[in-house]
Amino acid sequence: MSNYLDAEGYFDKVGLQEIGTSSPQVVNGAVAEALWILQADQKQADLLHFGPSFSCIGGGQDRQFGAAASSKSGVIGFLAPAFCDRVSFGMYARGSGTLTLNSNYTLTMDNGVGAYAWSWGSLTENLVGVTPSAIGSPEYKKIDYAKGAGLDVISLVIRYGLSSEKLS
Amino acid sequence: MTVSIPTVYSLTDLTVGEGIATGQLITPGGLQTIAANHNFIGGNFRPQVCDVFDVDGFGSIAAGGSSYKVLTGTPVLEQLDGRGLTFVGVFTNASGSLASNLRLICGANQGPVVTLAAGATATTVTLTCDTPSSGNFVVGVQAGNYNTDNDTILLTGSFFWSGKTGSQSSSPTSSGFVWAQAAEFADTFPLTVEQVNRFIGGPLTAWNGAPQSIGSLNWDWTFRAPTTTSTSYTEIGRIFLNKRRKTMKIKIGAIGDNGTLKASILGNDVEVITGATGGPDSSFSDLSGMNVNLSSSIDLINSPDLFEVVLYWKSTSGSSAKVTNVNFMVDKS
Repeated sequence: MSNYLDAEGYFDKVGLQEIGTSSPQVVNGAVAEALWILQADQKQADLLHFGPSFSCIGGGQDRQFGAAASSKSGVIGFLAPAFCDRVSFGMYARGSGTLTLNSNYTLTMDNGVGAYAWSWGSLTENLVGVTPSAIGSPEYKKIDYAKGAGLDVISLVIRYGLSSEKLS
Repeated sequence: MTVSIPTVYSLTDLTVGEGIATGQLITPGGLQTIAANHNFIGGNFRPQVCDVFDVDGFGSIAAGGSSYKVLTGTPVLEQLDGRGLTFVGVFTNASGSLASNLRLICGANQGPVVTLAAGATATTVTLTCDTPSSGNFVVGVQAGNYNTDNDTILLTGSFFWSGKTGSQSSSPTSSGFVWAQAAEFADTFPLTVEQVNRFIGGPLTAWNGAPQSIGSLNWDWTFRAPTTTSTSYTEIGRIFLNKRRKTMKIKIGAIGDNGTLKASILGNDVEVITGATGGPDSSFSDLSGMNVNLSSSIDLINSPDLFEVVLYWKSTSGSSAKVTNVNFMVDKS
């Protein structure tokens, strides 16, 4: 899992970043302190954009993914944050069967026919054909899905990320 | 004075030739890059306020001519800077002859109409609307000009904040974001505390200034929303939520009437009581009278990264009670 936005404390160090006094003054003599702030600001900017973000789709008891006993197919959309080029899915389901995304990636569940316990399917680092979104703008992506009969999907969790850890 | 929000985020490595590294002289170029990116974030941090999905889609009864029906919607917390909302969704129009009309409605504000061609399948459409000048509100997706029930269907979509672009006043925004003044960084200018301080806390302020959702459950407002007269709780849904920050709080927002929503979350039960009025009606052409029903604040500091929430619904008094939307929203209060 990626770091939280504040994992390195930048969001919580506001009070520590003050330099100089309250009135404007030349700080050329305090370059070391200024440098710290500038580096931190750049890091904050990066964190804000590619920090982890999740979206949970579905979850309704009226079967937003369709009844367990029937196969279903369609499209799922999600808002990919700026710079996102990696998408992972986690499926929360019961029964037996597969959920196939973009005809390539399959999430499988087999916890026994008739089982009535909620359990995890899989949460894997699937890159589902998502290209990097336009710089700085969230982009709406859509993927095809196909759910097999016998699979009762309750929730689909989406995780966004970058394939690289640094932007600059 | 004004500032200009750049259209792209610079990927320049500031530690190479830009003067933002130990042992280098700080240069105007590096400072200007930081200032531009700082302003870019201020204008373009646009998290979603709700995601919707249903395998059978969100539909409604026929809405011929100029009438509209709300397909689905969500409660939204106030954004102090007066940003509008954007919705991108995937729609289908089963009519072979009628091009339907789509629009977004934020409270009383109706956004511009976008036409969905007859026979369109899984077509991505972008809708926008201005947001109310103050207060929490309900946003809805409306469809019109279709003569058969469910001819126009919303399959999936996301609501998110519109961005700020172009020239802006350099004064801090109402949500507290302080713009950087790139032009004040020059070879012949002193580097002042004020200019440096304009960077401080930018991302945090942007985060706090943009209400957002970490998950939501949505039903269409006409056919499939859980409805009951029972005064005993019935399970209506389960969802997983994931924290976006280590320390954060959320509030549960609900659209409904005559009922009580119970969320079993991290070993506690949190209730949201809806009123007898102010509930959803797909025929509304003005959503400003709708209630944004909110729970108390829920602190997630001790919660795991990913956790399950089970939702229950009941009638408060025995009258028919319907709930259409449940939104788990980051609480900045």
